[in-house]
Amino acid sequence: MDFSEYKDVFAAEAREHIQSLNENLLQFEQTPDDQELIAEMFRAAHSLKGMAGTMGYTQLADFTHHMENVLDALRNHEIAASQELINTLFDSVDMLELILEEVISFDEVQTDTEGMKERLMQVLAGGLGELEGTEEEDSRRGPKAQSQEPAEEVRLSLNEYDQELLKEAAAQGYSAYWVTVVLKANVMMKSVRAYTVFLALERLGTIVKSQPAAEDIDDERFDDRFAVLLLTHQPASEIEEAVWGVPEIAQVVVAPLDVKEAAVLPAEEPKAAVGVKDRAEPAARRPVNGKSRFAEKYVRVETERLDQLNNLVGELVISRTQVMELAKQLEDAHARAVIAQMDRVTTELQYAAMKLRMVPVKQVFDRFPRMVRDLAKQAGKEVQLQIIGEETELDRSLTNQIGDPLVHLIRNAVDHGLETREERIKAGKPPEGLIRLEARHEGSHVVIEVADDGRGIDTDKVKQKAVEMGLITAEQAGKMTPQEAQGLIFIPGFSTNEEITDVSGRGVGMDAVKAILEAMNGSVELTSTAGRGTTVTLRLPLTLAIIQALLVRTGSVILAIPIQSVRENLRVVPEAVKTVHGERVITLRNEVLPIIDLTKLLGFGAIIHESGMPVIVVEAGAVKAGLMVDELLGQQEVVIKRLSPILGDVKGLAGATVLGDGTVALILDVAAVLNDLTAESK
Amino acid sequence: MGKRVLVTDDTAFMRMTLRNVLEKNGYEVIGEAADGEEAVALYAELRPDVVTMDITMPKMDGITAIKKILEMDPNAKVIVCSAMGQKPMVIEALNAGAKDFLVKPFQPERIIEALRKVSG
Repeated sequence: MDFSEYKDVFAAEAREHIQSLNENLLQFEQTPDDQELIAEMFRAAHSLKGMAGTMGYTQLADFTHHMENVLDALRNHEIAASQELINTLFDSVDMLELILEEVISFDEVQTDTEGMKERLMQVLAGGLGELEGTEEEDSRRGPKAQSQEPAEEVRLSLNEYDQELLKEAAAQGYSAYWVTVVLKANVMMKSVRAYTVFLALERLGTIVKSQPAAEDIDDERFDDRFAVLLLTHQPASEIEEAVWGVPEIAQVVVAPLDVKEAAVLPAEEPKAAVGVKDRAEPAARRPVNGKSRFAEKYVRVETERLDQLNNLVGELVISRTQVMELAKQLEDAHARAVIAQMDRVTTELQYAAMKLRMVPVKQVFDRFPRMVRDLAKQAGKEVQLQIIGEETELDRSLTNQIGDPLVHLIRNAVDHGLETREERIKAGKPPEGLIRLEARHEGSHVVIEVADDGRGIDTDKVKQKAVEMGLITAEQAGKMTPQEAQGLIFIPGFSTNEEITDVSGRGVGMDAVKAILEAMNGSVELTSTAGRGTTVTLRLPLTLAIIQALLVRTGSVILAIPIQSVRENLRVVPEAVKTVHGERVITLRNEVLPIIDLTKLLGFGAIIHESGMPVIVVEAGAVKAGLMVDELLGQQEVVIKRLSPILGDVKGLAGATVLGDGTVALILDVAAVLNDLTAESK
Repeated sequence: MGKRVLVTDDTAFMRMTLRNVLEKNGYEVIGEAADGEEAVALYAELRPDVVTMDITMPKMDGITAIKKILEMDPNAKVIVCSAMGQKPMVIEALNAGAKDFLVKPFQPERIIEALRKVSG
């Protein structure tokens, strides 16, 4: 059977399982007694194994099988949660991630997994030996003791439909029981085993609901327990006896259900189970619980289709603007009202389509707890990561790009920002360093902050280094404010830490962070207080599809300059423009700014200099310059349309947009224009 | 006096395994059948307390045999034996009236538990 068409789904789901393994493992390290976490990790590994096997990825399945064995032993209290075990699990999740990506890319595992499998087996064997070797008391905590503990009941939840049914049943003299059944470990064909329990119970009465739902039980999507809601005339003891008559049962709990009481139970809308009866009543269907039954609430859609939708909406927005222009000339009030209505709907549609592209930054943030843990271990520091606002939504393409800068900033924070435990104690700070990762909305922007409470940036050191590197003179350094000195960090190639650990050595520099942010029409700011810590603030547009732009005219062409890069607007008289080293410059508050004649640069014919012309000061990267234009037209929201690929890569232009009157405006790629400038001057 | 069991399997090895486990645990294996037809005939003749029934067998499969046996004796206690991956057939056998199921490879304690619970 050819499964290649399922591969995308497989990949997406497998990655989710690995992410959940990672998260649960992190939590498990904190609370090693949490059985629920272990069970969840086991399920993730188990599902992965099954999925990999179905896809024919036997090596991946085999590797997961080894992990599953360890988790299973942990789940059954056969081995204890040692630090070694936790580390082994962490490493094996890493390897799992690696080989999963290999399988996705090459259809086969290329890394040698034997060593890791060996470690897993050793942890298993070692853990088993340990428990066997310990005193009697410990061995009694094994599976035997477990079966004496009361069964953890599967939680009952009823929807309105169930409650109606219960009332009806009570009126007819039936009693209702919530029967939780726990199967023994290692039951083969557990769905069939559950089926035999169903058969046994149905001899006594009617099963109106099960949790998990019957189809999930049928597909073995349950761990070791399930529960049914049984309506019967028989007493609880009969029910218990009937279940015990079935082999491979570990525990049974029969809880009588007071119908009146049940009716008072909150009708848990999204959490209510899909019952047996619900099958015939699709309207009453509800996901079992929000966590495990995502499928019913969400639909996976190819990103390409979303992009297509957004493009079409963009086209519509442009047509709408044109229609609105035409409507101004209309006499007919009715026609105008209709068009106004279309205008409103289009705006809403545009907003809705934009929302479709939004994903929570959680997708990016999720990898950081694990990363910080590893980095901290490596650096021998104690670090707490505080994540705030992970539900903040951001354009999907931006979340894809924001990961790398954040990785770098967090690495910097752990590596350079935070002090060692001893240093912190000496400085009178809590021994554990704090890194705060926060996302929030600010107007039409999303702000992401990476803050640490570490040593802060030593501005003297920064200045000294800049002088050494010949970036500034000693005299300039003397005049610099701390804020300006901190800005030096963004200059390409700048690094302040003399000893580069293996961690930060790999990352991108602050200059690269800045470049990435600016390429996204965003910005980056840094504030730091010596001894108190450093905060890096990333500011991103909500979406890439619509930007605020300054419209200018050069010659006969209208250009849109993304507002993000605009610093200020000036009016410059010709006399103020000087020529230095063959370059035209102006002096602005003691700063020498090169002037770029946009009309000439883009080849639209020269600007006629008269009494003065508008100059727009723009900044991108570490470069600032003045753009000379003919006329300022104003600020406006524009929908970015990419230039047709037929045109090839047009230098200096980021795209085009259609204005209300149908005129096409070209969107200036400020970074490219300024890069050109620096390249020329070199 | 141990319960009387009829073992049905088309391989001598499996019959032997079952016989060993059962006899070690106090059950009496009163007959061995190598296919469904033989099982039905032996059931009529021996009226055992419990029957273990393989599914895939020559001449007559286990499910048909279960149906025939239950036609003959509605109180017959049959445990169906299957290999992994035969879930739909196990369900069919249970629906036909088999009292329980065993999955190969057999675990002795599982066999005994099933026998004990089914024969009551």
